[in-house]
Amino acid sequence: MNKQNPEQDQPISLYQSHAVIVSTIIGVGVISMQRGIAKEVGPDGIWTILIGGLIVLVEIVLITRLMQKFPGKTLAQFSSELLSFGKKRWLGKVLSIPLLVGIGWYWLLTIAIVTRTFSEVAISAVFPQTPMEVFMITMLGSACFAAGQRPELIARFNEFLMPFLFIPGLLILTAWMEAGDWENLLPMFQVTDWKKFLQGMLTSAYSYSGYSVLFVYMAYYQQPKKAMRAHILATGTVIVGYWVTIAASISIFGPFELANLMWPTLDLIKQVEVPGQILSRLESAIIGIWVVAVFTTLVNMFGVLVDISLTTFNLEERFRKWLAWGSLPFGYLVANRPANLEQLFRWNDLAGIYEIVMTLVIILILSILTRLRADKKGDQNASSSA
Amino acid sequence: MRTGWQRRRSRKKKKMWDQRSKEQLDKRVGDQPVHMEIERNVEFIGKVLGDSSDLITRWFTIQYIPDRRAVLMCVDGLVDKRNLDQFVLAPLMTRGEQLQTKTDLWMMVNESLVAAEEKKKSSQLKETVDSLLSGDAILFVDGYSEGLIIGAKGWEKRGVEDPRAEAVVRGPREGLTETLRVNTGMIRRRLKDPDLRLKDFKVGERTKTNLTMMFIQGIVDDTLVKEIEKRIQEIRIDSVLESGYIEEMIGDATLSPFPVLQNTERPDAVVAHLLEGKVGILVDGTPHVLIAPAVFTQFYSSPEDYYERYMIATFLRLLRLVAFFIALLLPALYIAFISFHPEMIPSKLAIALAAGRSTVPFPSIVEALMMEMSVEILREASIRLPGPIGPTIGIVGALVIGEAAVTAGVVSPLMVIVVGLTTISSYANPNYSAAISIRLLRFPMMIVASILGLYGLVIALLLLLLHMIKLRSFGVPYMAPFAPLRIKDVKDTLIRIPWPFMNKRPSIFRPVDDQREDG
Repeated sequence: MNKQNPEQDQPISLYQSHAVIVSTIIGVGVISMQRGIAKEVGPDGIWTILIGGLIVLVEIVLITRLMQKFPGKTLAQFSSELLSFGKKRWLGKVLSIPLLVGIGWYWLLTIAIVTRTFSEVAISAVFPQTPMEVFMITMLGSACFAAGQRPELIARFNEFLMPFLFIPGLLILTAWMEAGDWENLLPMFQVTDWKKFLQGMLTSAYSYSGYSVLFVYMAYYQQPKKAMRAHILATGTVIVGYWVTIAASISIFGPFELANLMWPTLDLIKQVEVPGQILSRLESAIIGIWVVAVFTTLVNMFGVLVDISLTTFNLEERFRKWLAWGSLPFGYLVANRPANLEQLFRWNDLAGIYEIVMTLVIILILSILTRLRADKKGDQNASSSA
Repeated sequence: MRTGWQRRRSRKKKKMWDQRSKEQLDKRVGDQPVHMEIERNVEFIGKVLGDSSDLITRWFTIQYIPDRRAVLMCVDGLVDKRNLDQFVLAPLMTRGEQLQTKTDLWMMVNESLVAAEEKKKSSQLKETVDSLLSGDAILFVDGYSEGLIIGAKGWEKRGVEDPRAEAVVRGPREGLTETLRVNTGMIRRRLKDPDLRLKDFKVGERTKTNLTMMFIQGIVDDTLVKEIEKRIQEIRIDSVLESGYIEEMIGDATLSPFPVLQNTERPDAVVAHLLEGKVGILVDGTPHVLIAPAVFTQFYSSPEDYYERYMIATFLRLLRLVAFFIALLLPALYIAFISFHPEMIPSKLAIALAAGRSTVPFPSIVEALMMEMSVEILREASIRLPGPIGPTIGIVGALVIGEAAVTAGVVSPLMVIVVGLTTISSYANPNYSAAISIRLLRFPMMIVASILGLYGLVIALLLLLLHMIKLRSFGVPYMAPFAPLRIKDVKDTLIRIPWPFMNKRPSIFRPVDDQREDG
């Protein structure tokens, strides 16, 4: 009897897919995205964040539509099928490798950036005396435990943790109510420089990075046909969350001060006064809750990286764990690369562009191929029936 | 349905074990038929049991033409001797002469002389020895190569008492006992459903413990029953003295700190679980019935939740959740706050804290470990202390030691509060085996908090959560119905909705008939 994994009878449900998208996108981006946007477009950030979200929404819709044509198959599996011509299966494998390496490199890069950014924040805000390596290793190491599990289990993990992501949202809303100044949001439309506005739009779009994990998770869906609504809803949730964050930051700090803050969201939540005075300062608590958001992003990316390697090389299930631990040193090495924060932020932006472009390229190539294949098949069917 | 449970032994090894135990049994008992000459049977059984002193052999004569010698054997202490005298020995000894000589003696003995409900003919000595040891009496009559096994079980047993570990204010006061049949009777009495099924097994090579699986056909998922049956049949062990043996032998995650089977000594709780499509496993010799599968939330509900009004039940469940977190995290949070995040403590409290800690020579982790360990020792000691003085000594010990430790400047006053709250909170859990796993997990949490503060604590919690989400109990995810989310099943987890709205059985246990009431 074939050994079947028990996880396979719990495929990813619609709600879980919602959770995966929300908790992948909400990660390190949420803690510092306001600065870049404020620098470029000032108070218009509340509009660019919406437009950036729409750009990402379009990409997510495209991915969803592509993946819906290949239910139960990850990017590695269906791309090699599409790219093989005739009976040459190896050709498909070889041709699909550039695509897989391209997107895989993005995931590895993001793992590194997320880890590094988190460690930087933890050190600057709460643990000034702890060496950064401690955070990077503990974070990557614990993410490894989760990444060595099947995607269905990772989705369940996300599902359970998603409600916790809304706690900072509540705190931000509280801060906005307590310390917000509406005048800072005015004047509302002040597009003086369209080039800058465009750039602000792109910067806003980067902050939603991470949606490319769908290339893998969608293969494990229970109802991929119905996924579109869940995906749009999830993206909508993130857009609303981001909009609240940026609007609150601008109205509390004003666009000029915001452009100079290192970690605006952290400063935002510092404004909150806990009712009843149980806790006096909230940084440590926020780092504690934020670990959850970062951890889920990390785990999802890591899980995708491991799963795509597994399906590319057609390995057995038991190698999953070893792949996770095997890719840990690479993540660590890349995370150590940026020399300083300045460079780290630039990497972050580059990774954002890279994801948008890479995803588009993959979608374009594979969609055209799918269309061609469908036409050919249609012709064949037509000729055979005729 | 495949589950995460792995076979712990290869099939080959299992075969070897079976072979070995069969050989041993043959060496001891052998495979002999019942002999016509009863002396040889008695001699054989005496040899098998090594002429143990509790073996009773009563020779007598059935007055028949011609007189026949017969022998009744039983084990002292396992049989009801008065019954045997009255309904087996007396008729045989006195009414034998009334028999017509035409009819076959053995048939008459079997059908009209021995007045017992449970009777069975047997022609294998091995079988007779087995039933002799489980409390039956055996009758051999000279000239017949068959023995008659007479059910005459009757030993001293404890009466039905309060369930000690699961006390409730409102609800039945009956607890299960050590005798399997009494227990099945108590469950049957509450559930007069013809679909209630009992399936018997014998486990333990030497103890030959009776084990009964109970479930309701038509509600329970058939694959679940088959899976449990399979796992029980694969048990190879010499003894089963308590259901804990079975729990560890058939459970999915033997190495996990969390229990994946629930145990209860309340018949009403067993019935409630059976009605949710679960399987009860009753083991002879213990009042603790195993319930499979079990999910995490059910360890935080008490039978009383269903008897009290729903609002109170919901409140109590939420309270237990708070107690769960206090028991797991409070000392760890104390350590994290003191050594890493003093800025989070409101300034007035921080000053008072610093004053309290000024005499304490140790870092907070040492202080906390010291206090927690001494409370654990006190708790353990107060269970072992005889009778009524146990709790008293516990309270006095805790108070005196706590007070003295503060005065001596060994611990800070806040630490005493923390330890007290933690201990009380861990008692709020209605299920003992789940409560001890939390007591245990507290210590790693404290150590992690002392190394990496709140950050480490959250990471440790996330890893713990990952483990719990991965855990399965007979195919049911342990964190269901939260992960995976089954929104309709949440009605009976953290909250309990009123009975009129509880019209479906929880779907996570895959009941065949999921309708509980109309509506």
